[in-house]
Amino acid sequence: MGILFTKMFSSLFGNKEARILVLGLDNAGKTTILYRLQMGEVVSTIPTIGFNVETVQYNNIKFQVWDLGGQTSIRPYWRCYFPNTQAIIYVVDSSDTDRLVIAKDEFHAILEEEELKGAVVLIFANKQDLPGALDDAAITEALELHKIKNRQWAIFKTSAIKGEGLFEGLDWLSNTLKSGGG
Amino acid sequence: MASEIFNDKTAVFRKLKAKAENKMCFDCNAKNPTWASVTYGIFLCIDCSAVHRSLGVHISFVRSTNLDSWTPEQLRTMSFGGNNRAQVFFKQHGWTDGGKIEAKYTSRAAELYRHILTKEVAKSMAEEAGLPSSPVASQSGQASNGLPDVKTHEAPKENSIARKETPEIAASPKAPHTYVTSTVKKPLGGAKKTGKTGGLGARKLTTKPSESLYDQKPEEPVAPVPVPSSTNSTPTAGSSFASRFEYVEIVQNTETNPTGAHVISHIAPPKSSNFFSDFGMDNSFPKRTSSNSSKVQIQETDEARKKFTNAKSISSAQFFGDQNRSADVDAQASLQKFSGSAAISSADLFGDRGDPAIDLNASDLINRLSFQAQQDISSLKNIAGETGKKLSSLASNLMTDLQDRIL
Repeated sequence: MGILFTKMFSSLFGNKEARILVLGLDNAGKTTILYRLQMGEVVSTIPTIGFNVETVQYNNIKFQVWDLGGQTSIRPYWRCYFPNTQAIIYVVDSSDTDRLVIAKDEFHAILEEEELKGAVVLIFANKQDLPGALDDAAITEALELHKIKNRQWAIFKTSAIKGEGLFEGLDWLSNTLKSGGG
Repeated sequence: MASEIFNDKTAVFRKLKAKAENKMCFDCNAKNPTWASVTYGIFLCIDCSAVHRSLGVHISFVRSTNLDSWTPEQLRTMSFGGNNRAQVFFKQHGWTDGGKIEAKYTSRAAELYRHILTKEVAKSMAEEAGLPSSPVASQSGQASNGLPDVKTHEAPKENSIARKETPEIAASPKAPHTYVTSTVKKPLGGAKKTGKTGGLGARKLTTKPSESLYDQKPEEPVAPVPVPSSTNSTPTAGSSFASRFEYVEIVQNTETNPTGAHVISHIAPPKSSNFFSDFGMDNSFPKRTSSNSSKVQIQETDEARKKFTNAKSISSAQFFGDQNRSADVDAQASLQKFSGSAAISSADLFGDRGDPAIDLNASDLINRLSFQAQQDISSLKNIAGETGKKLSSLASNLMTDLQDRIL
């Protein structure tokens, strides 16, 4: 707790803000990740119709994190949130191998967006706790990350349920944003 | 014919939701459910769908009837299933309405029901599609000598999408008879089942030991899951077609296991090696894996896998290396550094973007360069000085020579 407060205090000065979108297919774990980051707890979630937005203070950066619903017909509305976004967190259900192709297509469609040209991309290969989850290397291939040029990206193995990998990803994100990547 | 029907999501759901059985959430009886678990063909309210989602797609794959797109296969599953049929089935296996959701859907009964639905859908789709699958089907069928029933089923599965959960693998062929009997007795989908279905049933038996059917304790929910792809050594997709059939046959012959056939049914070109490794390790989920990996395949395939096996994360820099240098060597070296570390970032790997390690390198380099330059310059000066001397001496020589001659 004390650490938290000192962090908050230090962030009052020299504070940097970043607007982050959390995107991904439905049931990838976006909302669970958001609240795990924000409250440090696993909450039980229902499908997100619309969005959740929370502020997460980390590494002297105030992340304004937008978690957008992932159902097929509401994915087109993601673009309404694109302007002024410094980073994308793209969440993949690593155990949902049947839909990796769809995840890849959506992902690359996002990268094509003009408004997100400057955004750095953090990929969470989520649900590593589930049996049969693919690791980050496999997800890297599935998402064809090698095709991403002119943009910084990183992929982390995460388990929102266990709380693994999330803050490592946020570390990378804050370092990248601080160094002007965003 | 019928396939067109299943291309229209709204039409299908209008029809299905008109039935009284589907007007209540399967798990909690809330009214007008707009979510569904495709895996079981049941309609759910949003709250119960949340629980299903938390189980993972290998247990229950949830879609919104309003907000999601549906494939014809998924729609077919819904119409083959329905709340009523599922309820009857679960009841027969000792699950009453009040049961805890997680236990209920990780039970043997649930697994069994998944299989039944999957097979029926695959079969009906195959029947409709007719032929294209036939070559594959025939091959696989012949390959598996032991189980004629299986063959018939497998074949249809092939052409059909085969995006199913793969639970079959988990269940090893045990008491085929049990299942058959059970199908007969149970009004599962009696009307829908034809002679072929019986074959299905037979196969299922295979999967289920008889006791488990009735005991109904949720055991090993894990079963249906795929093997992590890391195990595969991902050969590229190119050769996969021919090889995949061969592999399948072998598998089936040797093991007389439905699994092999199942694997085939997955569309994607599996990596040949996967099959072996899958079977070698007694993981229960080979099928899915193969499908994944195949989908995953890209031109660059294994690269990432090999490089990053132990890494917890991979970043662009690591993957591509620095643009300026020939990255490979550097990248590999840096990768080795990071194997075992939790995360890898582009900076770590390549040292561009102001990474400290790279900074070191850069300053080193600069030092060396400047040193070299200094040396060069001083030697240049020396040379220049010497040549200057030589020139002047030459000139003076010349002058004196001239003077001498003139005089």
